[in-house]
Amino acid sequence: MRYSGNHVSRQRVGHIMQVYGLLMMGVVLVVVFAALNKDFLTFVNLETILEQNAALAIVSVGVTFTIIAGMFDLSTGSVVALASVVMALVVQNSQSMVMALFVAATVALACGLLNGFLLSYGGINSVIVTLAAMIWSRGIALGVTKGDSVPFASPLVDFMNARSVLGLSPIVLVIGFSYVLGWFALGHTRLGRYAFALGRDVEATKQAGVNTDLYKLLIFMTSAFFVWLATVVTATRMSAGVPNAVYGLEFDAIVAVIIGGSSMTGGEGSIIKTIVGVLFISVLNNGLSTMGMRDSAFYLYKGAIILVALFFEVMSRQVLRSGGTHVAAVGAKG
Amino acid sequence: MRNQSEPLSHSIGTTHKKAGYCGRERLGTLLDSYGILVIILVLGVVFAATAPRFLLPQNIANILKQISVVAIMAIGMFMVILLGGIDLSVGSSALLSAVVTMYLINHNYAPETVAIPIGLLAAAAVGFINGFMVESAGISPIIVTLGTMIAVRGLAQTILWIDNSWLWVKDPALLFLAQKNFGFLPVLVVLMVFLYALFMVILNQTRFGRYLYAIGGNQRATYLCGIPVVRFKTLAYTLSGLMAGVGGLVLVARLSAVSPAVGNNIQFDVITAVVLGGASLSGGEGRIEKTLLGALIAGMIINYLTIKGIPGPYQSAVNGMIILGAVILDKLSKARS
Repeated sequence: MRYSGNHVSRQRVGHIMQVYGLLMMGVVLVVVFAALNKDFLTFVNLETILEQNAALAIVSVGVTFTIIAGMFDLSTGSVVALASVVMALVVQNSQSMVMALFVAATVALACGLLNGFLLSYGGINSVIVTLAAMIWSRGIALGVTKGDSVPFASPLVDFMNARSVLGLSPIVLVIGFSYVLGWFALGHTRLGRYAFALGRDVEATKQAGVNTDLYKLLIFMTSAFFVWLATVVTATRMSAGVPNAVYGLEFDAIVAVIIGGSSMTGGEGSIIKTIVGVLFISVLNNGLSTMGMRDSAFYLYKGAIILVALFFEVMSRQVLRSGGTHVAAVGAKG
Repeated sequence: MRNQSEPLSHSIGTTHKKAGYCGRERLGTLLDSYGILVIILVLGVVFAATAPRFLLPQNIANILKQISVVAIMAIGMFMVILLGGIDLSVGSSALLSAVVTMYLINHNYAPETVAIPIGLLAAAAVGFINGFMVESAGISPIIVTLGTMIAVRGLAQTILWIDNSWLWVKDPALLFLAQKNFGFLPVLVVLMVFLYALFMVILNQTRFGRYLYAIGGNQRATYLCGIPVVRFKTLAYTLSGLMAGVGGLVLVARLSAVSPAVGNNIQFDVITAVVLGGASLSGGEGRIEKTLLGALIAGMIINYLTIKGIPGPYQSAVNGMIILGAVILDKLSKARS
């Protein structure tokens, strides 16, 4: 470690950037969007932002666990698509929503189990395992449906799209439930504690007597559980299983968690940080799309803003560390 | 010639894992390459037995043409993965180089001799930005290249939108490259083989190649030896962008047109080729020539599925499972040795 002369003040600057940097960028975004679009800052639009990004918000809770444990889950979006297609097919054929929910849960958890098993007991890099799952599960979803969406009707669809449960939309309530559950599991259970331990040092965790393979598996099952919740919300919101749905969700979720301030090499992070990151990405998605720009421009701005946010997030972390060589920053290895 | 430097570069890459006896390591390397050839032979026999059309010269030339774009892009990806990184942005860089080049040519802003280098430079610039963000800012490569993947595709599509999202490729040089044959061999395949030969020399014979293996094997030790790690890693990302640009130009020349979807998701095929070729995602392990064989295996399987009339989505599902199968096989063979 080398220490610069004004070590303390640099640390303070880094700390301020770390804690408030993204919030400040978020405020700037909101101000810009509000100036460009007078409907942006209305309650209806704020609720719409949450509903539009419900899948992102819910999946990000599970992704927080995997990233804190030092792993990546690239399969979430494709598994949501696969599970929602299967769910829709079951409703179409059996008219039983309970059955469909159960089957969707089975699909999501089975994918999580397979991924978790391969990367823990198989010892394969999590990026490769979940990248493969991202490709094959989307392939199956598209293959089974031949690319068409599978519409279905159910009382649950009407309920989820009704706007007035306790004055809030049921979708927003599901999001709230996910975050409370995630917050509790991360901060107050063995699973959460071991996730942090795995992210800091897998070997040391193993030496301490923790069954690290089992907990890696359980962390991916946790992620799969939130994937299932996201599936239910996505499918009922569209009242269809859409094989092309939530394209790129896995990337949005990972980016949200990381620009929220969780460390991309694991061992650090919180649900609160994820909330900030998810709100940032959601505002970005909604703000850019309500400006009526073309898809190409949308992706250009979105990618550029994400890169800038990432850059600041990481620079603040480096200032905070106040030194350390470039070599210390080895890429994440799941 | 190559064998002289091989044990050196190889053992630099793996000293932190096993104390190497050169002879045994060479045998292991031989068996490794042999293993992937056996897989290709077995697949070839099985496919030929169940689909007679598979072994027609026409079809074999077709397979080679089909894998060429992915294989060319895999050269750059191999170097990045050798360093323990990953590059998800290659599909977008490919589109960018194609769009920039064809925009300049079709609007008569520049002749092809200028437009093609500019297009390649644009793709290389994306690679440089990736390398800079990964190395100098220390952001995880998967996140950085994800960001550039989104932003660069947006940029390229924005430029393409000027021409109503469609540019024809009528340039004779590019068409010659992609659609003509030298006798039996397509020019494209010759280009692919040439590039692989070039990079085999670069990676196995030069100091640059040895340093890449060293950095991938143990970054910190290499840094402490006084080797400019950051510069070499940035260069590897830049080369990945450049090869993506070459791949993009070839791809649009094969299709005769640039559309906004060009190169979409091709990064997964490229990564599949490298992983099938036995490169380890944690870096320091792998051979460039095996990457070509990896691309060949994937190409053979997809070609066979097409002959058998399996629809596209299922082909990509199979692709995902091939990646898993390859990695599991690799793990098993390593566990045994």
